[in-house]
Amino acid sequence: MGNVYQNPMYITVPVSYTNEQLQEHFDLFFEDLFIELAKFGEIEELNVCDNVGDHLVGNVYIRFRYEEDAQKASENLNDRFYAGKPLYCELSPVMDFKESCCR
Amino acid sequence: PINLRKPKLKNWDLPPPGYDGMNVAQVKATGHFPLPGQPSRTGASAVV
Repeated sequence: MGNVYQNPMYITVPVSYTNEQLQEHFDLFFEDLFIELAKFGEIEELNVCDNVGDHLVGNVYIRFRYEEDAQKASENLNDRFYAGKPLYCELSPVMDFKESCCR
Repeated sequence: PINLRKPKLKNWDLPPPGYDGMNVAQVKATGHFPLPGQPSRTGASAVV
Protein backbone atom coordinates (compact mmCIF):
# COMPACT_ATOMS: atom_id res chain seq x y z
CA MET A 1 0.00 0.00 0.00
CA GLY A 2 1.18 3.50 -0.69
CA ASN A 3 0.69 6.63 1.38
CA VAL A 4 1.66 4.82 4.54
CA TYR A 5 3.66 6.53 7.23
CA GLN A 6 3.72 6.42 10.99
CA ASN A 7 4.84 9.00 13.46
CA PRO A 8 6.29 7.72 16.66
CA MET A 9 6.37 9.87 19.72
CA TYR A 10 7.17 9.08 23.26
CA ILE A 11 4.63 9.13 25.99
CA THR A 12 4.81 7.09 29.14
CA VAL A 13 1.79 5.66 30.85
CA PRO A 14 1.69 5.43 34.63
CA VAL A 15 1.63 2.03 36.24
CA SER A 16 0.56 0.50 39.56
CA TYR A 17 -3.18 0.96 39.21
CA THR A 18 -5.97 -1.54 38.98
CA ASN A 19 -6.70 -2.96 35.56
CA GLU A 20 -9.92 -0.95 35.34
CA GLN A 21 -8.09 2.28 36.15
CA LEU A 22 -5.38 1.48 33.64
CA GLN A 23 -7.93 0.76 30.94
CA GLU A 24 -9.79 3.96 31.68
CA HIS A 25 -6.55 5.94 31.63
CA PHE A 26 -5.56 4.37 28.35
CA ASP A 27 -8.94 5.02 26.78
CA LEU A 28 -8.82 8.67 27.78
CA PHE A 29 -5.26 8.97 26.52
CA PHE A 30 -6.12 7.31 23.23
CA GLU A 31 -9.14 9.54 22.73
CA ASP A 32 -7.11 12.62 23.62
CA LEU A 33 -4.48 11.75 21.04
CA PHE A 34 -6.96 10.75 18.38
CA ILE A 35 -9.00 13.94 18.60
CA GLU A 36 -5.90 16.12 18.24
CA LEU A 37 -4.23 14.04 15.55
CA ALA A 38 -7.39 13.86 13.48
CA LYS A 39 -6.96 17.58 12.87
CA PHE A 40 -4.05 16.79 10.54
CA GLY A 41 -5.97 14.39 8.36
CA GLU A 42 -7.66 11.06 8.14
CA ILE A 43 -6.13 8.52 10.51
CA GLU A 44 -6.04 4.90 9.42
CA GLU A 45 -4.39 3.42 12.46
CA LEU A 46 -3.17 4.52 15.86
CA ASN A 47 -0.93 2.14 17.75
CA VAL A 48 0.38 2.66 21.25
CA CYS A 49 3.34 0.55 22.38
CA ASP A 50 3.37 -0.78 25.91
CA ASN A 51 6.68 -2.51 25.50
CA VAL A 52 9.56 -2.46 27.96
CA GLY A 53 12.22 -2.08 25.28
CA ASP A 54 13.86 1.33 25.33
CA HIS A 55 13.30 1.83 21.65
CA LEU A 56 9.58 1.13 21.88
CA VAL A 57 8.36 2.11 25.32
CA GLY A 58 5.39 4.42 25.13
CA ASN A 59 5.78 5.00 21.44
CA VAL A 60 2.72 5.99 19.53
CA TYR A 61 2.48 5.17 15.85
CA ILE A 62 -0.01 6.96 13.71
CA ARG A 63 -0.77 5.93 10.18
CA PHE A 64 -2.39 8.64 8.15
CA ARG A 65 -4.29 8.06 4.96
CA TYR A 66 -2.11 10.58 3.16
CA GLU A 67 1.63 11.17 3.36
CA GLU A 68 1.18 14.93 3.36
CA ASP A 69 -0.86 14.72 6.52
CA ALA A 70 1.82 12.62 8.20
CA GLN A 71 4.45 15.15 7.18
CA LYS A 72 2.33 18.00 8.45
CA ALA A 73 1.62 16.24 11.74
CA SER A 74 5.27 15.30 12.22
CA GLU A 75 6.46 18.86 11.82
CA ASN A 76 3.77 20.22 14.10
CA LEU A 77 4.11 17.62 16.83
CA ASN A 78 7.84 18.19 17.15
CA ASP A 79 6.97 21.66 18.33
CA ARG A 80 4.38 20.65 20.90
CA PHE A 81 4.25 19.64 24.54
CA TYR A 82 2.14 16.78 25.75
CA ALA A 83 1.49 16.17 29.43
CA GLY A 84 4.43 18.26 30.53
CA LYS A 85 6.97 16.83 28.11
CA PRO A 86 8.21 17.86 24.70
CA LEU A 87 7.18 15.48 21.93
CA TYR A 88 9.70 13.83 19.64
CA CYS A 89 8.20 12.83 16.36
CA GLU A 90 9.53 11.40 13.14
CA LEU A 91 8.24 9.67 10.06
CA SER A 92 8.47 5.92 10.32
CA PRO A 93 9.20 3.54 7.46
CA VAL A 94 7.11 0.73 8.95
CA MET A 95 4.49 -0.30 6.42
CA ASP A 96 2.59 -2.98 8.26
CA PHE A 97 2.46 -3.40 12.01
CA LYS A 98 1.28 -6.96 11.81
CA GLU A 99 4.54 -7.81 10.09
CA SER A 100 6.79 -5.84 12.39
CA CYS A 101 8.35 -7.66 15.28
CA CYS A 102 11.65 -7.58 17.08
CA ARG A 103 14.38 -10.02 16.15
CA PRO B 1 -18.13 14.32 14.40
CA ILE B 2 -14.58 14.08 15.65
CA ASN B 3 -13.71 17.72 15.10
CA LEU B 4 -16.44 18.73 17.52
CA ARG B 5 -15.63 16.15 20.13
CA LYS B 6 -14.35 17.66 23.36
CA PRO B 7 -11.22 16.08 24.78
CA LYS B 8 -11.56 15.07 28.42
CA LEU B 9 -7.88 15.48 29.21
CA LYS B 10 -5.82 18.64 29.21
CA ASN B 11 -2.49 17.20 28.22
CA TRP B 12 -1.89 18.94 24.95
CA ASP B 13 0.51 21.88 25.00
CA LEU B 14 1.05 21.49 28.70
CA PRO B 15 4.65 22.56 29.36
CA PRO B 16 6.71 20.87 32.06
CA PRO B 17 6.31 22.47 35.49
CA GLY B 18 8.89 25.20 35.90
CA TYR B 19 9.45 25.53 32.17
CA ASP B 20 6.62 27.96 31.50
CA GLY B 21 7.48 30.57 28.94
CA MET B 22 10.05 28.40 27.18
CA ASN B 23 9.27 27.02 23.77
CA VAL B 24 9.58 23.36 22.83
CA ALA B 25 12.97 23.71 21.15
CA GLN B 26 14.39 25.45 24.20
CA VAL B 27 13.08 22.78 26.54
CA LYS B 28 14.49 20.00 24.35
CA ALA B 29 17.84 21.80 24.29
CA THR B 30 18.08 21.59 28.07
CA GLY B 31 18.51 17.84 27.73
CA HIS B 32 16.24 17.26 30.70
CA PHE B 33 13.74 15.35 28.62
CA PRO B 34 15.69 12.82 26.59
CA LEU B 35 14.06 9.91 24.84
CA PRO B 36 14.35 6.56 26.65
CA GLY B 37 17.54 4.79 25.68
CA GLN B 38 19.32 7.97 24.82
CA PRO B 39 21.89 9.42 27.17
CA SER B 40 20.56 12.19 29.36
CA ARG B 41 22.35 15.45 28.78
CA THR B 42 21.23 16.89 32.08
CA GLY B 43 23.44 19.76 33.07
CA ALA B 44 25.69 19.31 30.08
CA SER B 45 24.20 21.98 27.88
CA ALA B 46 22.96 25.38 28.79
CA VAL B 47 19.56 26.70 27.86
CA VAL B 48 19.73 28.52 24.54
